[in-house]
Amino acid sequence: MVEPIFDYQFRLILIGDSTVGKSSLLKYFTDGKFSDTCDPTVGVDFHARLIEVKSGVRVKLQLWDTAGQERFRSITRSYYRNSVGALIVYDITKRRSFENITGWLEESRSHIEPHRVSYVIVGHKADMEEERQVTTREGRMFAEANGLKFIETSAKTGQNVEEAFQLLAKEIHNLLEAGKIKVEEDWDGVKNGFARPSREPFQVAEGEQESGGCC
Amino acid sequence: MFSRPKGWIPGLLSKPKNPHSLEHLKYLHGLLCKNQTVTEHNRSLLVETLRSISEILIWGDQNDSTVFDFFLEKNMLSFFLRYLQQKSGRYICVQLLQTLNILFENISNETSLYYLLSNNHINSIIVHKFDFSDEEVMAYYISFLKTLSFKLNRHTIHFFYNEHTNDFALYTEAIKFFNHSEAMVRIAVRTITLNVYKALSPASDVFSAGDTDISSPNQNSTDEEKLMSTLGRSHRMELPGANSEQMQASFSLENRPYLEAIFNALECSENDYEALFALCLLYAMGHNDGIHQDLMDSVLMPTERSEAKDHYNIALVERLIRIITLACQHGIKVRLSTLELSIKLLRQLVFRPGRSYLQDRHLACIENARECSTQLLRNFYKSEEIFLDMFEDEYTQMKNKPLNVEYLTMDASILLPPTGTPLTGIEFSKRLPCGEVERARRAIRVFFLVRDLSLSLMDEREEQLPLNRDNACVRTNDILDLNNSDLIACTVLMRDTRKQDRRFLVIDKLQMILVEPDTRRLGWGVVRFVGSLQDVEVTGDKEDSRSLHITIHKPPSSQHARPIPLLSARFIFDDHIRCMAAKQRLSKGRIKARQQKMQMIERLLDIPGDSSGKTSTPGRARPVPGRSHPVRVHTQPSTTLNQLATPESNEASRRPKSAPAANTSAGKSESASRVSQNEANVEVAEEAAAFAYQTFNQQTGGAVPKRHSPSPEQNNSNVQEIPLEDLSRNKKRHSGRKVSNTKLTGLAHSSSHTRSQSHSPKRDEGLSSNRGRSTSLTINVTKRDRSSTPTRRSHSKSSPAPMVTHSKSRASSQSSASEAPVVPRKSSRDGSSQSPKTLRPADTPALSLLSHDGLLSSSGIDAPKLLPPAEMDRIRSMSDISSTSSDSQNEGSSNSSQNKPSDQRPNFTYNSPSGAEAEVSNINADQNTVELVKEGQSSASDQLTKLAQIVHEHYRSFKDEGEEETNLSHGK
Repeated sequence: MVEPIFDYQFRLILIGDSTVGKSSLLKYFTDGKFSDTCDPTVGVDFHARLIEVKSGVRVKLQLWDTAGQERFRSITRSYYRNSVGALIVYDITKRRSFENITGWLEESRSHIEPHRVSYVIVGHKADMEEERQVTTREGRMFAEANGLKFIETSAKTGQNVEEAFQLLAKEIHNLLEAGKIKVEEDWDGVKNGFARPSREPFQVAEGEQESGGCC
Repeated sequence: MFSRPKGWIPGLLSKPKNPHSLEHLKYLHGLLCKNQTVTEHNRSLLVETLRSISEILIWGDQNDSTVFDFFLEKNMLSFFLRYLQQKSGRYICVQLLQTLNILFENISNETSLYYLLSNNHINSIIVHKFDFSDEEVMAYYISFLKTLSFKLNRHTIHFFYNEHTNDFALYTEAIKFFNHSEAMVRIAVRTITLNVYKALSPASDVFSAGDTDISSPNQNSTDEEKLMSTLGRSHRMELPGANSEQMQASFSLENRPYLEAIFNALECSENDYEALFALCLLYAMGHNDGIHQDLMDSVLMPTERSEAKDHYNIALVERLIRIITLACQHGIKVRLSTLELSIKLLRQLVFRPGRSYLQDRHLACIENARECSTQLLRNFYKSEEIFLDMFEDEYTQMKNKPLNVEYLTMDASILLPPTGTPLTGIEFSKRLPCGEVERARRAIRVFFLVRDLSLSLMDEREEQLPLNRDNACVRTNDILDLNNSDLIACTVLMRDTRKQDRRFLVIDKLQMILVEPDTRRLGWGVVRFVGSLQDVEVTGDKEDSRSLHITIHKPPSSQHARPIPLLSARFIFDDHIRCMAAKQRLSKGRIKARQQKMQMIERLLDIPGDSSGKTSTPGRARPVPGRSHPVRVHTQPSTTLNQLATPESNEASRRPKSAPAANTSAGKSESASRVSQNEANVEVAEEAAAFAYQTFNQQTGGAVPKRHSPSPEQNNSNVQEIPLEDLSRNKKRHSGRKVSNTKLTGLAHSSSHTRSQSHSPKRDEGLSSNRGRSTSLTINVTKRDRSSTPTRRSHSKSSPAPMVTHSKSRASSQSSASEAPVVPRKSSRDGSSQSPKTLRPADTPALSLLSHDGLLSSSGIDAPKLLPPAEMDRIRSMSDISSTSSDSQNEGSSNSSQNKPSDQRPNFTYNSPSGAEAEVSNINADQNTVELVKEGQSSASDQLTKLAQIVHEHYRSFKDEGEEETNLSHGK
């Protein structure tokens, strides 16, 4: 049995308030599908996908989707430690979820330390322009103020979904190249991929959606 | 994704050598992908694969995190779930449960564990419908649940609550097996339950927002605790018992939302659905040792533990009284269980044995309720047999099956809204009545319950219930002195066992007794069987004139249960005469027993007896109490047969045989005490007479006071002076009146008077069963007539001349006697009453024979007695009429002539019961005589031997006895 070949494995986590659309975002990213109804996540969910961060460098993203509900906060905390990056998602139609990202930022940071963690602030549901409560500018301002990447996405239209994950994966890769992140023995945030004796392009098509979530 | 295993090279799928490696897991995953459907062939392969997977995962958990990553990436858990959903039988289920069990037991990595627990996968496994009849499945399932329960903590508990189904499956599924037959399972369930509670307790806020069926501990707080927590301190602790006066006044439902809700539920505005639950709860609170009495006291709810109940919660008591009052009213909203529970709770609040703390105004409410319940029952009161049966049946049921609140709360049927239909199978007390009969039953029960409450609150003893006084009853194996009793020898052939016994039949006031002579004491007998006279059913045997079929049914244990016969046997008597005598006495006894009880019920219900009351409630006729009492005054305490045997009477016992004619006079005057056995008869007759009188008055439409005045006077004076004489006389007179009465009622077809039948519960089953009320009148007529006969006979005997010739003249003499009670007593006693009594024994057979178309056995008896029954009856009715007319002067002959046909109709019927009745009364009279005679005797020893002889003769030979009787008759 042959596994898809990749150079690195990054473990990422999606956090943010309940109902901001984390699961939909992830589902679109891994399955390319969007459904209007989505049950709230109970606990955690897991997905994986291969992407190419730059030509010839392929990365397997292990993605932990977490429940935004308060009652699972203590559960989701235990997933921070082994993550190298986090997508903090807010709902642009819900001011409250934007205001809460500070809290998410702090919580994740405190749990991921001493490891360095990369973030991308995701303003989700960008398709619902009429109901927007948080302007793009506000979002960007907040991200820049904290030195974070920012992007607005929509799982409904697929707008920027791919880019959001690419953005984060590229940043992590850059940090890795720059030596600011290292592969560590007892840390699952970043792992080396399998050795590749030769390129076998037929095995995994670039950007192929792979998911463990739905079969 | 598994359906299209892209990018995989099938050729590389070879089994790795190292069983504990990622490679091996990949290989196993490949196997799963290829065998996504469970079949006969791949079954064992899959089982082995699953087993290996769990092994590798455990190994990976400790050694290689990539193993679980692979498990995650390939979402292998979903394979498990899909296998489970396939109808793969127990084979794979057992393995899956085992695999999961091992996984949960051994996975130490919390993120892995959380993943496994996430998204209700485990919940769907828990609620999966396994085949629990399979012991192995059951065992793995329950241990799987147990393993899960050990993974519960305040964080993971959230995984087990399914928001979609609003279910805590681990708990709810586990407790389904709390009562499982396997001890192991029960223990596991207990463990699970405890683990759930343990996980819950520190996180009590967990489910307070969501409405789950597991209540958090702080929901169990009381109003007081709630108040305390809001105020930050306790008021109640500062309240000692001393200023409870203040408490009484100060109690309010304010700030007591829980209690208020419960109290409000007690209002049965629509029905008593909620009230019953509230009552159960309040009752349980009072019986829960876990609730501190201080707490109960703080809301003024004394319990059994309270020493004094001076202060009770008025708001609660008033609500309870409202329920009780409501139950006693016509509109039926309150079920019997609710009523009974209300009463129980009320007792708990205000009653201690021997002392009631109920305030007067509340007591007045209870008394009012009792009055209402009596009133309610009066509306259902009927003179029918079924009413008496129902009445007694309800009483025993109430006494035997008092409400058990624990059982009540366990009964799921009370969760349904109150229903009326018996088809639901819901017990009568837990539903509303359906139909007239059930409404009557309910009214009876309400009456009993409220009466009982009222009596205990008033600290009075129940004197009138049950109608059967057990201590006055003979029991099996009692040894009775039968020296003075009237015995009929017979052979009893049991229907079921075919057993044949020689017995003596004794008919008491309320009981039919079968005795066997006591071998050790002469003249004594051992009771072998006792049956209630009111339940006796007698039928003749068409083929054998000496046989009777007697059935006695046990009172049914429940309404729907078929009555079980206590006795079902054929009684073979020595001859036809005795047979008929027995039949008569049994039938008569049955009626008397029932009449007596009906009167007791009437007394209980205060059914008015005087004419004024009658006009308002037509038909509710009852003897004027004052009139019947004098007779009762003479009632001796001697109710059992044992007591009847006094030395005095022993002396007398010799005479009936040796010199029947001579001794009669002797016994009489002293024999007031002897009356006891007949006292019932007399009483009945007395009351019936009074009743007749009233009816008469009512029908003639006037002269009420006039009518009333003479008879009480007479009675009283007679009774007081010479009781016995009075009795016989009364009988006479009454019989005359009775006849008139019955005729009148018979004539008066007005249905409005049907109630007047109340004194005569149904007579001949054959006749009455198919008839309506108006026809039952005629039956009554028959009966009255019959009951009158004995007395008349006794008179007729005064002249030893043949009956036929004398009957008419006798009738007139009789009537004159009754008309003028002033007639010198001595003479009337000596002349008319004495001789008839002694002579009677001989007459009895003659009569019975007559009524039966002169059977062969009667051939030896005097010719005059061989009258056709029709003739006899005519004669009787003639005499009746004459007595009537003379008794009720106003009536005159027109009345009597009118009456005649109606009277005759029933009398002329040839059915044996009616004929037999007359005989019964005769025999009763005989009995009288014999007793009286006995008393007159002087030597006790003499008597004993005599009796012994009698008994032995009875026992030995039937024919001899028959002859003896014949001799007696000749002797007179």
